[in-house]
Amino acid sequence: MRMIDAQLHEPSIWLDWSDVSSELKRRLLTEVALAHLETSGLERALLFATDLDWGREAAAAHPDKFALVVRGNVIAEDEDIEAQIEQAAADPTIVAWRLVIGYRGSDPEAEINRLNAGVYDRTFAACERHGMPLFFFMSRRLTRAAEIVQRYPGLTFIIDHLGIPQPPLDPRDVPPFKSLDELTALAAFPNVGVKVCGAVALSEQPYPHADVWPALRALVDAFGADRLLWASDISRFAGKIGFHGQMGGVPTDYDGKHSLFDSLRFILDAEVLKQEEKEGILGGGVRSMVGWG
Amino acid sequence: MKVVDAQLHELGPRLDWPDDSPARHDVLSEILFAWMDAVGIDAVVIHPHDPEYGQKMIETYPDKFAGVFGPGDLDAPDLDANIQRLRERPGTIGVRASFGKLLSDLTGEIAEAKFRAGTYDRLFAACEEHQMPLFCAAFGRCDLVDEVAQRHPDLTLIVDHLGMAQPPFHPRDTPPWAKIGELLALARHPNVAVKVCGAPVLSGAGYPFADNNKYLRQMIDAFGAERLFWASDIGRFHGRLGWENGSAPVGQAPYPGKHSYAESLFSIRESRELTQNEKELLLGGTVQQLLGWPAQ
Repeated sequence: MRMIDAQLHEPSIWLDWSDVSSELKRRLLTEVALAHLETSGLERALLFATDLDWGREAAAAHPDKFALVVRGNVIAEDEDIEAQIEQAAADPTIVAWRLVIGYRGSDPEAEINRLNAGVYDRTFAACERHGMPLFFFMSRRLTRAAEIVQRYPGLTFIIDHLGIPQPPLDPRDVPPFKSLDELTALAAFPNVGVKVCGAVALSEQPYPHADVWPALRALVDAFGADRLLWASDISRFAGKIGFHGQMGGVPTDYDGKHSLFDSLRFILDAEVLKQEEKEGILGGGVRSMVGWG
Repeated sequence: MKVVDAQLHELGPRLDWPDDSPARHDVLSEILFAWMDAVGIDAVVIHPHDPEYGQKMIETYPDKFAGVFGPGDLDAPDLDANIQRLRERPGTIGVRASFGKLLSDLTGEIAEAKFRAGTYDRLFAACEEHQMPLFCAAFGRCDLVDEVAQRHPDLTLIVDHLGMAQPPFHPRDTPPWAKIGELLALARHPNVAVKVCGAPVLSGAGYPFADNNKYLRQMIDAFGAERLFWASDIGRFHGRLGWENGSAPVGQAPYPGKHSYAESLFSIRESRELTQNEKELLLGGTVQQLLGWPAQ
């Protein structure tokens, strides 16, 4: 099976590397990202690099293993954002864009205001024009997401993190999949896919987390497996991204904590999925929605 | 439950680093932590390619790493004192000797000749004297372990790698578990335990290696789970042994039974054939009780 992790930030670094060159730091990140793939039998990963220099370097050096997703919030108001997106669309190391709206860590009210004020309209339009898929972080805002995806039928949207709040950065809803119907309703729009990330953190049972299987099945029934993209985003669950140290707000232990392989095997061992559905979620979704891999 | 992997060599890098990079120990550590984190391993018995590196890890992270080291020169006049010194060194929980088939000795004849010539006898006596557990890399030669167990009833012996020939370094026996009888026969010696390592490469079925279950059950019936413990030795299976990736050509090529780190762990952790108590013993409890580490 050709498996892809649809979200990897810089992998966690544990030792103190503060006195080495930035070149050596980037090299180390690439080494550990390659280990991330090999531990788990993954073929590829989409890099959500906070350090774009690293992300570009890794994707350029290992184009068969890594490609880059660019976070576009801050640059959305740049005068030349259209040109930036056009240029990125021609860059083989960049395969998608990302907007983070419904994330508590980044002031979602301010982001919603920016969204409503039309700040991101130029980004949407340019991504649509240049065939740039967009990862769209809209947890708790799925009805608002539905309004937007309708306006850009030619733009591929991928709803980040199931659109559902997850530990450790957000408390679970009660019940955890309270807004599942809002999510599956988005399947009516053929330009929408879902990043299946953090499902394990929504489980209230031990492995194999069978309590999440009904939601997983509902997603496959609504979207089909080739519009679903499994992602580990494992640094969020471990609470460390690259050299940044422990992430603010992430306790070292919490309910829902899991390993990369708990996340991956949760899909592989899900008894409610057929083999070809697992292949879709674990790689087919990235190939069809992002056009990479 | 703390999960202990009872054998890892430090895993090698993928990029071309300068051989003498001053960062090499730290790079090895980051790679090691990445593998442990990916799968969910709390503690590791390291059998280091670079003993200086291994010792550094044990001293820096005494709760995460303990070591099994080579015994040094078997002909050294002070072998006994060396073993005693190792025994007294915190974090050294065993020494290891090879007297089975090796890549350089595929039939095991050279090892057997050395064994018969008494090359290891002083080591056995010293380990017995100083209560140092001895890991026996006796691929295909459980009969030799049997002799040692009989002669040294107070020596704790660990049969490495099930005592069986395993890819990628050895071709499988036909059938792969042909030597299970010899392994099980060792259970009559109360001083013998088994490192359950490499079972996936003896399977013909792929994960979760269901065809191995009956052999695992036979081992539990014979030894009891309190004399069995799991180890991945995953660097061997991936061709990532040490900074130089010395085993890369054989380990990185395809071969029967090649498996991932997590498949090795999850075939035990998520087995439907094992009880919770058996899992806890295999994945850490036995190491803790038998080798005294990690602290409860």
